[in-house]
Amino acid sequence: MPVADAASKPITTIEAIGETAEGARLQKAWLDIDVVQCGYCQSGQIMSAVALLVGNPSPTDDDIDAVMAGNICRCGTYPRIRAAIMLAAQG
Amino acid sequence: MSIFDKTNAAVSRRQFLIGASLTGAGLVIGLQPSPSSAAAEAFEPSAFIRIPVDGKIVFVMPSVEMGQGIYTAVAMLLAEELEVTLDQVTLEHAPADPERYANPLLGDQITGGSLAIRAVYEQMRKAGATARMILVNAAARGWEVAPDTCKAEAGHVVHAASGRRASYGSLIHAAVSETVPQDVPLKPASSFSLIGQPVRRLDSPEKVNGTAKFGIDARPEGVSYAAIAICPHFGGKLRSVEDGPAMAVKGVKQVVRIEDAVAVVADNTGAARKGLAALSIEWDPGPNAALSQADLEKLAEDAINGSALPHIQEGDVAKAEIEHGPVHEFVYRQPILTHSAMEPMNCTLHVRSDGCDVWVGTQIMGRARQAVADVTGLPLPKVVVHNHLLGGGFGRRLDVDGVILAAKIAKQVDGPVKVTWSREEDIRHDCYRYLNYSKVTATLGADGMPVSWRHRVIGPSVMARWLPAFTRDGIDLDIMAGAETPYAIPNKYTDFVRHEAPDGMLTGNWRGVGATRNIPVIEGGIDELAHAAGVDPLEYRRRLLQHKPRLLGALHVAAEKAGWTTALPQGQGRGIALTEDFGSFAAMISEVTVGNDGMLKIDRIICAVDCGQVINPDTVEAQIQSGIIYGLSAALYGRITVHNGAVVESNFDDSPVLRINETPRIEVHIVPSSEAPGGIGELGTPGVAPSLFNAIFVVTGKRLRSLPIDHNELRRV
Ligand code: FES
Repeated sequence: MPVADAASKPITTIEAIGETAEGARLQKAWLDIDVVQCGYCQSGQIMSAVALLVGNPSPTDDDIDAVMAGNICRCGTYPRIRAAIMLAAQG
Repeated sequence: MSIFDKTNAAVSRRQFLIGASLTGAGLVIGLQPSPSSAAAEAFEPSAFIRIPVDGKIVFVMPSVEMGQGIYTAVAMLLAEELEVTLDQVTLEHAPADPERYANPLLGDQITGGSLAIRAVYEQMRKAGATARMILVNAAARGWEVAPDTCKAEAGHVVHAASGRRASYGSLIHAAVSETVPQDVPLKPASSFSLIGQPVRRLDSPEKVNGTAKFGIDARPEGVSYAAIAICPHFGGKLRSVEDGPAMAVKGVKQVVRIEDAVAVVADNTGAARKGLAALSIEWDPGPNAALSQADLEKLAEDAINGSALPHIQEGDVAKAEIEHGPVHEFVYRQPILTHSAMEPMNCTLHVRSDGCDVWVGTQIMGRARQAVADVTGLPLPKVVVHNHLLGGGFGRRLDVDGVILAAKIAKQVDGPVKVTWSREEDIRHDCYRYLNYSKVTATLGADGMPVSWRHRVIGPSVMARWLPAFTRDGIDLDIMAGAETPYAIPNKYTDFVRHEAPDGMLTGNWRGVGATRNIPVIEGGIDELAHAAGVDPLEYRRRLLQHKPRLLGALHVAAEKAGWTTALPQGQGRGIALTEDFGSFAAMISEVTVGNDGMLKIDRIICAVDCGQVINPDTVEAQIQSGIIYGLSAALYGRITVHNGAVVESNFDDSPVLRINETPRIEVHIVPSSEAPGGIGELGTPGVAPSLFNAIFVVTGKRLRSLPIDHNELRRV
């Protein structure tokens, strides 16, 4: 989506995502699993994970892979991203 | 005059300060700003610890945090001996000050080579223990009791017999009069309460809630934003550019020209990029204009027979080759690689006539500062570098080319300016891991075990430019790292052919450094010899490693966890690769499936690690996973090509990296050890490619010796 299309829509950023139920659960799972490394990609990872859980509250590994494949992490936090999403989905 | 005044002769052997030195010390990372304001008094028993009257104790981090977890590890080491809990501390980036914060093993303020923990393991614990002892002595003196009747716990000194208790902060004035104790004994490992425990990263919360500050987040008052185009041709220059089209874009303030780049400066990044895109820039492509990938590969190929400098000689390889023919010969070829760190290259500067501030995330603080001083002509003390969290390093931020470029631009800009590279500029102007070829010849005895190993390494000498102390008589000690193999082979010979990239193409350090160059060759090569001898590759390695108990131990664990002796279904195979480097040992076993159509699927990677005394097992696991995934990206996709003296690839579409859906199951097993701690940030990377080579061979019978892995070579139909 071009950024211009978002101009008149409400936008939730990483700073406020904890106010949504999925966001709060995911941020907690991210801390419990200790996902982050350099951290640079992590805001984007969490935002994508929120979108995943909003649409699919109990995703399989394949569901996670399909949605999260759009977010690159050069530090290779993928195994823990999977684990954290699974944990958040259970909680 | 404060009692903390450094000129007080009675305390001159100690370093005390008035908290004013907070200025320039960089951002306080940590969950809340320390209540000790810039005006508050604090006790600084060393360069790494600052104890205020109340509020959090500040730990100053000598290494930089780029994801490897070093901030948490260093804090654990200090806290272990200082006897504080991690929620009583806050962390601060060290300023650029090599005299106080140099890595003792590198002699400069550098974070790289997986050397941080090895360098600071003793240093930090000593700093913590000495500070604790001073505080205990101060409390005991005040209470008129013997120091050994007091103990320190959770930021307090306690005298159990009388029930007295004093916080560290309440003791700092008394502490100043104490003599600094020498040779304070360190805790034995059996008394560790933090070291060795899984501890959550201290930088997690702010990275999870989006408040963490990277270099790219620096926004000094009045900052403008620059987008850049660097001459795409290595060694080329700017010929001409007209400002007009950029200046016509709303928000654009200025077009800056330097010798080999153009920058458009604007009120915001969007306008700067739009302005840059509007320009028609004419480049002088320079001396490399006609250079193609085929030329570079031909030059490297020719260098295999170039003049070589001998490095390691054991026994008599030439004699062995005559006596034990036939000679097995194999050439391994590795491509040009980028780092592609997630945070784009960026650097913000405010150059003034009387000084300069620099906001950047760098692995090499002192050199960044010197580079700015050199470009601006300012005296070194007038350059203040504010270091930040790094959005990935991997060796990219061990070079200061980005800082130099930004400084040249900022010199021409009024007020602070942030120079941010696009992904395209990043991929086309990296400090590349350059072409690395290796030729091995080996002979086997009647029992099939190797009698001689001759290994020629062909590649650039990064150390000649970057750290000359790591060269000897023209030999780059990094590129030769481990080339002689860890195996018991009676006759060994290694030599080095220095083969540089074309002028203008910067080459540098890449995650795993020398080991990622040589382990694929050694571990692929030893597997080739095992198969030539008709011996199981695990058993072959075992026989050759009887003198290497730790490597053997890791191999044993990996083999057991992988179920080495259990058969895999048709179409699947396992491959081993061992890595001994960074003071650590790793045994990796990859399991792959190769379809008849050549499609490769990596099913599972098992890695057993002996990295000595573990500081934080959670970080060890994360770093091994990280190193493996970095290695997988390179093994499957990493290849930069050159056309007309310029890099062809430009973004993640044509220079892909591993995604989550391609990530195999990774199992990390830590082998318990009480040896000195070793590095882990790079340990997982070198073994990936050869473990895949070896697994693929089992399935397909095809021996790969080049990277990245080419699926077309794996077809069986
Ligand atoms: S945590 Fe570093 S890029 Fe994902």
